[in-house]
Amino acid sequence: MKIIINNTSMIPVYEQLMDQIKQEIIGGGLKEGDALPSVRNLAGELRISALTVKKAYDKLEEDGFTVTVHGKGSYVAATDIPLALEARRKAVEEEFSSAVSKARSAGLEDDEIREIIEILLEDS
Amino acid sequence: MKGLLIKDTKIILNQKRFLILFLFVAVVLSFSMDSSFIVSYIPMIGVIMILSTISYDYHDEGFSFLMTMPIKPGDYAVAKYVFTILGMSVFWVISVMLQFASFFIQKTPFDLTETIMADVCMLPLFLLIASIVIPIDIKFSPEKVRVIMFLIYGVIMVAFLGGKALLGTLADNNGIDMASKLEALDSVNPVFLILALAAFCIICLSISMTYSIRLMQKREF
Amino acid sequence: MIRLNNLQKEYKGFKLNVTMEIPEGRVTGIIGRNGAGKTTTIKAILGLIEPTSGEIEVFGKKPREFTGEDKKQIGVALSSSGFCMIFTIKDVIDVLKGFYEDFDEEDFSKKCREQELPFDKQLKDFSTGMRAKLRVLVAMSHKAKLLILDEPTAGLDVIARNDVLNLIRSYLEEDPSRSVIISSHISSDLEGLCDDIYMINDGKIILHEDNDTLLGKYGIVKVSPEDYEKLDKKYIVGTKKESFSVTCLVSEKQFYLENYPKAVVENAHIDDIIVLILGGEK
Repeated sequence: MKIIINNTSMIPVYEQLMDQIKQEIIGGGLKEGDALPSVRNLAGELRISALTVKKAYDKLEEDGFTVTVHGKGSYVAATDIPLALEARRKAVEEEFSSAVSKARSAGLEDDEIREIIEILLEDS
Repeated sequence: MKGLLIKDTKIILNQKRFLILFLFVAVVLSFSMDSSFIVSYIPMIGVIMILSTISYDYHDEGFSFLMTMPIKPGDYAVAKYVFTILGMSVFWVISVMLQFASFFIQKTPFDLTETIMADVCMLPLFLLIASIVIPIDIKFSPEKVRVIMFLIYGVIMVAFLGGKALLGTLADNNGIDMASKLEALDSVNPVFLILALAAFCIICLSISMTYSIRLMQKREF
Repeated sequence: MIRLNNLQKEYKGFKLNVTMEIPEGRVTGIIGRNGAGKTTTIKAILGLIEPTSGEIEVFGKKPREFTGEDKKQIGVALSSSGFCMIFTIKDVIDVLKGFYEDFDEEDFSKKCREQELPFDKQLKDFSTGMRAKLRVLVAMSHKAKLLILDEPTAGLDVIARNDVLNLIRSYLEEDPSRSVIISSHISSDLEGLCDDIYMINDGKIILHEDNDTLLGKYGIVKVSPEDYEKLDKKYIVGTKKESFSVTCLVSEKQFYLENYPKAVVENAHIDDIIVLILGGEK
């Protein structure tokens, strides 16, 4: 597994970590059931805080890429990741589709719909 | 506490050059002059070395680190007394053995009872000295201790000489015959005297140790 | 695990007043200049000094009341205090054996050899680097749950510092429930190791943040003096006005990255943070 942290990047370290681990999983470098390095082990190797690694691991689990067994560590999740991503993207598309329909039937113009989406994106 | 005793033993053993020199002098002395002298010389060197472990503990702020070892501050005091008693006993045994060795080799005539009496008095004597010095070493910094020790020697000298003179004058003025009183002491059972000395020594050590423990508990490192 | 509540200690010309909370399993850094109060804080945690006022609790107890058993849980390395200088490593091993049942002689000896520490020389003949490494190894020698290291890398060159930090990292990896409190005035040492950092100055804590936040969210924003007037000061934590520019420490660099694309935004390192909080104006 290859992980390289760019200390001069504006992207927070935990995000870089998440992205690189996700890449490994999607690309097949890390297979289903493989154990991720322990938090302290990875933190020591990369010379970063253990809390940062934990943050990345927690978010990976939230996003469905890994599963954490308390006391044992984190493992690559059993679901088929690329397909799962596809499925989630499809689900999001469907929700957007129904929201757009509702908006149109409420009488909103396309420009107004776009404005709403812009505002929502900016707020988060 | 085991760790403290090991530490103090090592402090003494690590002064190899000094130990060898002093042993050499001791042997030379015991075979060249009155061998009973070494029963006071060797324990005296012993008590100096043992009490010096306290200044080694102080040195280089070592006390701070020492107190992070798994001991209570009071344990330090107790261990110092235990080490002093054990250590002094060792020095005393060595000195008595050398004394008798020199008696036999030089074929010096000696009175067994008197010699044993004198020897046995030595140990409590030095322990009494220790019981005074240890709390002083614990309470005051090494520089202050030097000054205090000078004062104490001075006071002891004055008390000894002055007291003798004072007693003599008092006795003469009141018509008490000191000489006969002292002779009366001679006839008291020597064993009783030794036991009395030992009891006094134990009491002093106990008081001293209690005080030292309290000193250590209040100290900051 | 460790709680300091308005802990105060007064010396001539110096007053410490700190509030800290350190949970288990953390690597906590305390950074500050010499004389800022790092060692005083650590001595209070170890029960070596008596607080003037305030509360302090370590493992649920007052440190001044620690028993031998309590102290066995803590491995300590103090910056200017250690074993007797006439001891050799062999002596140190025997003494440690006498103090700690959990002393691992084999492991300790192995690590000493790995760090090339001489077994037969007296400590007074050790170099500064050797002494520092020995102190840290001694602290780690009895499987303590908590390591307290006061300036373990002071006076060391960069290679030796790295060696010491790596020793600490291995110690942490061996048992994830172990904690470390490490004080230093070299911030780069702490950046690559600690989970959270307390900055202490003149006896007071001037900042406490997760390392992740300091490196991830804090940033340095540099603008011209004119642009500085127009800057949204919401997240500015410290400012330094130079002749031709203004340097700001901000707690949300993302905000300034998005809203001021022409401003120079950099990652902040702990040194920058200290300088800007202390040397600048708010």
